[in-house]
Amino acid sequence: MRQAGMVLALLLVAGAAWALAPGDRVYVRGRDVAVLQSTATGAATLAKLQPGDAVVWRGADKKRPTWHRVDAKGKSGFIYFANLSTTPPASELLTSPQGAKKVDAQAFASSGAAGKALTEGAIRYGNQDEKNKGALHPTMKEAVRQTQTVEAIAAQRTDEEIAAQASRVTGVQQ
Amino acid sequence: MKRLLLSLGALGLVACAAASGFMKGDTSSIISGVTESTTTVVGLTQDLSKCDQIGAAEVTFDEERTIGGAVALNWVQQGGGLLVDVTTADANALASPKTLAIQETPRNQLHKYLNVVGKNLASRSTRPTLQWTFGVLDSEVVNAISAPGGYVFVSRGLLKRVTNEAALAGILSHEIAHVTRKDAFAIYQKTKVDQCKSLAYAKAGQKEGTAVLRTYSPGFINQAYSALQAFSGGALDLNAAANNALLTLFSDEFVHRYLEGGYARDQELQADSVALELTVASGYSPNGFVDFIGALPSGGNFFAHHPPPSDRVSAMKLTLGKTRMASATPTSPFSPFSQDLSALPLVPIHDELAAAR
Repeated sequence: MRQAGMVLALLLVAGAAWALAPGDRVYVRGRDVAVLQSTATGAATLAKLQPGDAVVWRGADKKRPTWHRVDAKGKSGFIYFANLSTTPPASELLTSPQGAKKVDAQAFASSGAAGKALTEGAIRYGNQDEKNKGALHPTMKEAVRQTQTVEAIAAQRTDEEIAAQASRVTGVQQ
Repeated sequence: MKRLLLSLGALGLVACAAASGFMKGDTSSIISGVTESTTTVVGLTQDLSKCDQIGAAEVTFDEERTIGGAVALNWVQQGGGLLVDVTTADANALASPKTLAIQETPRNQLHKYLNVVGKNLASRSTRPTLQWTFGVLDSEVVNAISAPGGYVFVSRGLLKRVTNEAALAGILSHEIAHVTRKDAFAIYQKTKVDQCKSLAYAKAGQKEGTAVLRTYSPGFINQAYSALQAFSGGALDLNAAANNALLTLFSDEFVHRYLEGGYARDQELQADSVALELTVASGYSPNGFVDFIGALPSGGNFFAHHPPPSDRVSAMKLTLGKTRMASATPTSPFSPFSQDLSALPLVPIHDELAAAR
């Protein structure tokens, strides 16, 4: 009886350990994440995925368990473990003529709201006369222009650059 | 209790109006004074109710981005400006950041580097699709700060102390965590309601409003009050020109409150914990960040409002210890802590950063 209890406890631990089964949906972390044909160095890229993209998990590779087989965009290939997550990104609350509504990361990314730099309201706030009196340097107007310049530098960073940075750190083909 | 105080206040207003007419010995004046005050009380009650509605509504992304932009401008100004060579483009070109021509200067190269490092980290956060912007403030003070909507700033003084990219990654991740956790919202929501009620009281001629808003001109108060009167429920559109005075009232006070008290200790420690997760998930050694924080002197201008460095380091070591134990029975095959953390690199900093220091 005691032995059976222990076995049951072990099974429960094992069951709870991953709480993930082949066929379950998991999510991509990172930009321009490559789905590779194999786990070998220099393997061909079958597809590129973006943060929050859902893929079907098939399991860890037996020889190189840091790589996981997934089905994505009609292809079956491998993704590095750190580029996957069991939880999707947070949803965002967008305003619409019908009222506020929650959308997932993909819908948010394609909504146009995600690409917003300083909003008209924030620019108006910084440019108003009352905010530009006094001896503070820079002035608020200058702060607006500086922020817009840095926003442009940020917006012009490509997925490829970010993926290359990820590879530079991990030494793993993204 | 609030309702009781409001009723007592209202009673006070009506009584004052009656007394004023009585002093003049004029019955019609008494009646007109009471009528006027009753109208004021009804108006005040309605205004206060609107303030509660504004406070109860969930903050939308549009509102977050607008308030975040206004707050970010304050951080830029108070941080001595951004270490960037600005574009001379006109307003139309500035409205299209993806195609804006940027000069190839060392300071702009530094920002390119910082944004590649930051965006790689943010792409692994719970809000990967925000338009993240990472900037360097031209200040010797050692500090990092964020604003809602995806703005993260580090000071030149901080970069001088950074000796590897893992440390920089931890610092940026800590600020990313404040944005993804929406830590500013607790201060912001309360600020909105308090400022809105001060406005309502000020228009009703009550001291608790006029004293709070004394730095604003009567014309500005009128603009803000018109915006409050026009509010008919739902999401507050702070991006609208008509609501500029409200945006100003809210963001000015948010900045003031943040600078007075910062985030709660627990929020800072949680942000450190998320920072470790993001840093390790991106492939960096957690030691870069832990050692950086550990080397900061306590007090002074070093990360004002943050818990003492020794407390932060203890909490992070505890987190890493727990994750090491948990990695024996991982809850996810993708847990970044399931790898051998001692094998993760500190990663040398790029030349752009070295040159800027």
